[in-house]
Amino acid sequence: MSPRKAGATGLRVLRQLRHDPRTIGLILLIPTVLMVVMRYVFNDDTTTFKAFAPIILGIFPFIVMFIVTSITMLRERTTGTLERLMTLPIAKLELLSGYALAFGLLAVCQAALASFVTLHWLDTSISGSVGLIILVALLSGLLGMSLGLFMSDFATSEFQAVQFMPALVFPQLLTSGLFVARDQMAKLLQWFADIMPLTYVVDAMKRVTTDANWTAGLARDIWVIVGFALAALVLSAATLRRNH
Amino acid sequence: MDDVAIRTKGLTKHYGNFVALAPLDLEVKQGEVLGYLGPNGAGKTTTIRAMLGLIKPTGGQVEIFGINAQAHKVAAHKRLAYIPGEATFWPSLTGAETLHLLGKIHGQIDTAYRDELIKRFQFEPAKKVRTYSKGNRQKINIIAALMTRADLLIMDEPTSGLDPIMEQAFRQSVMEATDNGQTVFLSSHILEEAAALCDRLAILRAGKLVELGTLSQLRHLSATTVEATFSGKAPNVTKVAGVTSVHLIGHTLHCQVQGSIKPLLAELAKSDVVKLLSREPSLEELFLSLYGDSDIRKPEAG
Repeated sequence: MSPRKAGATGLRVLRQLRHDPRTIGLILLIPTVLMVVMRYVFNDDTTTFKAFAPIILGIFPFIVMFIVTSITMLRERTTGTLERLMTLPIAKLELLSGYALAFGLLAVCQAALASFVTLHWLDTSISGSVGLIILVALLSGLLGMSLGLFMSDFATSEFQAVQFMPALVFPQLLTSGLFVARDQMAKLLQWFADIMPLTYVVDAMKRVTTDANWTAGLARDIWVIVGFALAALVLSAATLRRNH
Repeated sequence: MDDVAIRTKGLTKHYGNFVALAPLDLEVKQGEVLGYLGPNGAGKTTTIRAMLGLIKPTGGQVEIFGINAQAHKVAAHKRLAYIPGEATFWPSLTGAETLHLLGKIHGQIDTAYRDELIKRFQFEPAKKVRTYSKGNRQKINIIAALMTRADLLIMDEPTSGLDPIMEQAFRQSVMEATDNGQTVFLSSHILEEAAALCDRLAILRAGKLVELGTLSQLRHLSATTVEATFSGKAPNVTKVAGVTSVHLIGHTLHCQVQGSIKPLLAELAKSDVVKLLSREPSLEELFLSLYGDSDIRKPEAG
């Protein structure tokens, strides 16, 4: 594992993004703008907003990073630049770590901006910890990135890659306890939710917005999220086709 | 370790029933320039992709400086630099950013030489890759590979898209690489380029290695071309030993001779020869003869 090669790859992805300011703008602003809209949808009902806001903050980085990385990776493969990189002395995990660096940075910025605006300007008076909220949002973004990298291997066109988002993300969203408490769902769906990573993102977000302390339950959620993200990263390195 | 840069042992690639590469046994010695020639679809790129570990061979294996190129790709890639025939890069990056990335990933680059190459190839690194012509994009491939000073340079039609002046710059750079002790594997269909640069030539046809040797060795395989113009009627030379592909255009006789030219000269001398021209086959003719597009190598009757 060479930090130099991962760093060079991360820098390259950031340079590409710098030449595409519209994408950066969209990634950074969409969650924040939606939070503001949601605030005034609930309007006087600040209690409901307070319950929803942190969860949305946690899920957004996942969705955005999932889409951005799966499309980027797919494009890398279809244009031939991935194969060009594979002719160089770089290991797959080094390449993927480079992506993690660049997209992770983006996820931090996105989460920080949305959290800051939500917590300070939208008058939610959340009792949790801002630092922990951003941490969970970052992990959620990295989880989305890892799954995006992994899933991109199963898509042969950008249309397919985009379809993975609703196919993979919506069922998890519905069962994560966002709309209905998990113990009220059918038993089968509860089992499903127990093995889905987004469930733990939502769970962690609920914890950090109600309790500013590091708890054993939070630690468990975070380990599960990190475990899923690393497993997806290693799996995508294993399945990333260097040859056929 | 021995002095072999690339060794293929029974390297084979099938795509379904199609044999892209028949078992190939080839050794490229350290420090030599080996030309790898063949028409489109002969299996040149398939060979190179197997050498780089980009495709999984159906059988056999490739060693790069004794390193198994399939099992230890990263270790093998550290020893080589590759110039593909197609320049696929990230359109939004500049040339300089692309070179920086490729250099950082390769690890070892000679920055002074890189700057010299940029000047030599009149490359403008500040522009975005999107705005470059095909030839200018190909310069990134060439500079990126040469600036590493890697022990082995694998090139697949490296001058595609370059103009003649840049081709000259490319040849100079390859010569510098060999002076530097680097090994070059040059796949090409530009015969003149291969003839000018290569110590040995390997000729591939329909996935099979048909010839391997120095240019002068290969020339012996082929015939001498003779053109003779007569004041009167040209003699019939079809029965003369070693003579093939006889054409008569007006008073001018065209033919090929294999082996000694003496019997033909004796026959020609019986008539009134005005003009006589005899020459070594060009690489082009050698090529055609090996691919059977001319009848030079047809088995002779009697």
